[in-house]
Amino acid sequence: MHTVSSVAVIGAYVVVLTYVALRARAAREFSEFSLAGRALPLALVFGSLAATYVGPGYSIGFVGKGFRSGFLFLGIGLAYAIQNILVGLFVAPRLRALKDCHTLGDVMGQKYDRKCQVLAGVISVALCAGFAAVMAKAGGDVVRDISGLPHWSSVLIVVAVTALYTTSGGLRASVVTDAFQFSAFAILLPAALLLVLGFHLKGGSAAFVEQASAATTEGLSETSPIELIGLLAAFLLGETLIPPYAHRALASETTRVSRNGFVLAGLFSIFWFMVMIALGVAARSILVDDPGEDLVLLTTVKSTMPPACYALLLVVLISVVMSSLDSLLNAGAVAFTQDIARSFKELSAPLNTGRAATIVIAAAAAAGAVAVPTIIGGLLACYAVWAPAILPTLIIGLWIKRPRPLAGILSMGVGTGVAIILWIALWLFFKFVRPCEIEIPPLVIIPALGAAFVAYIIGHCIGQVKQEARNPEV
Amino acid sequence: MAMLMYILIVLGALFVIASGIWVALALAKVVSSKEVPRTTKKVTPKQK
Repeated sequence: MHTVSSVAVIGAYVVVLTYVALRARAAREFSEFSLAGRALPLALVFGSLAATYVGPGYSIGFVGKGFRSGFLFLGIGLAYAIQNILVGLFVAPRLRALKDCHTLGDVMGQKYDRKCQVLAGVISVALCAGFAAVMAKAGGDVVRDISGLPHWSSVLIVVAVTALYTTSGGLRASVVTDAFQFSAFAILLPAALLLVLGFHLKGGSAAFVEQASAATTEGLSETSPIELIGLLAAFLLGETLIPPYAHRALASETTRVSRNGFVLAGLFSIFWFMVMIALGVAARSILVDDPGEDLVLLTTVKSTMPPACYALLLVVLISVVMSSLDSLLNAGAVAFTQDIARSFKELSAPLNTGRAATIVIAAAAAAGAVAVPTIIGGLLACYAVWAPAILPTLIIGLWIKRPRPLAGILSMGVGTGVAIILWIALWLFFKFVRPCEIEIPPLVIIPALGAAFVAYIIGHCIGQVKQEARNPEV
Repeated sequence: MAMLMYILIVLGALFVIASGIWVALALAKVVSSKEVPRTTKKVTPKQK
């Protein structure tokens, strides 16, 4: 009986999702595939942005962090919320105001030159594939829990289904299905928290606060100040304007929608983190054993909800993963087509190139999923490279009058190089010289960002001198 | 203090649920409209 109700719940969810995906219809032109014709309304921009950033890290991962370190990660998550609000107020409207931009690479191309566009495109595609591999790993974990299939085939199922509708419908399908998936998890996960708080918490509000205080103190004592600063920097900058977010800024109906979408998404994230962490804290008084960070949410719901609700939650968690994965696949494919392929060859059918790139990136993500250690660890690794590689060049380029191409190239190259080299060096150091368990990426992000800024300034000065030598009257 | 924190978390959860309902209503409007808004206008020979 339980199995029947669980299958019915999953079946109903899949039917509604398929209907929504079909209503989004196939993209007929590359501008629809890449930017949904720049006509997205506020609710869809907000829902899609929130659905994209609420991946497994900000759901499963944050519940685990709440279980281990209480409200410590709410403070760290606030850095992410501030970043979203600042991007909404100062950067997103500027991006939307640019004409004929499909990608961040296009922005670089307009502000700097073609070489910067290609380099930004290469970094965007690589990072989208990296992030997508993390999502694929998380999706595989959930499907394995539901079906009992081996991990590799679970990963394949999640990636194949997501790639199918993203390949066909492009950004529009991604945004519309994101909105549906967002509604599902934004209603059901807080409802699960309210049920847990109302009916399963032993000791009521006093016990909850006691657990929260104990866990937060534990978390603070286990995190060194340098790690804390690194984590704050990673959450503040690591996901800033990654290609899926930038695409939503570019695809908004107006500059106002672009700004409000990001500001609302930032405010929403504060409440979302609070809910996820509260679930983790509540789990401390429900679970007898420590199930491991990534399994706290699943185990709590399994031990407190009826089987049909558990099945629904599993489907919702797959939605959480798929809504991030589809955005990353689409963003990577559009970046490849627009910034790399089109830079070398005039494409007669860019839509087909975009579709083929979606499939290739999906395959790379599925293959890379096995190399992802933990969800948060995988995300932090991507943050550590993205911020130094792109942010200085992008932000300064949007604000100054005459950005120099040399500054852009140097900053992106040095930022990426320093992040990777420093990461390898620190990994070797903590593996062989002073063995200890430490998250390396947060330690990398600040020095690499500093190096990228210095490289930008040097490139700008050299570029200025060269230009003056070429044209003394300017 | 404990009660205040508890109430804040419950209000936060209700805000998240309300956001989900808002997006669901907007989505329902989009998918139930007879013609899903096309993003690019087709130019007919006459318009040319």
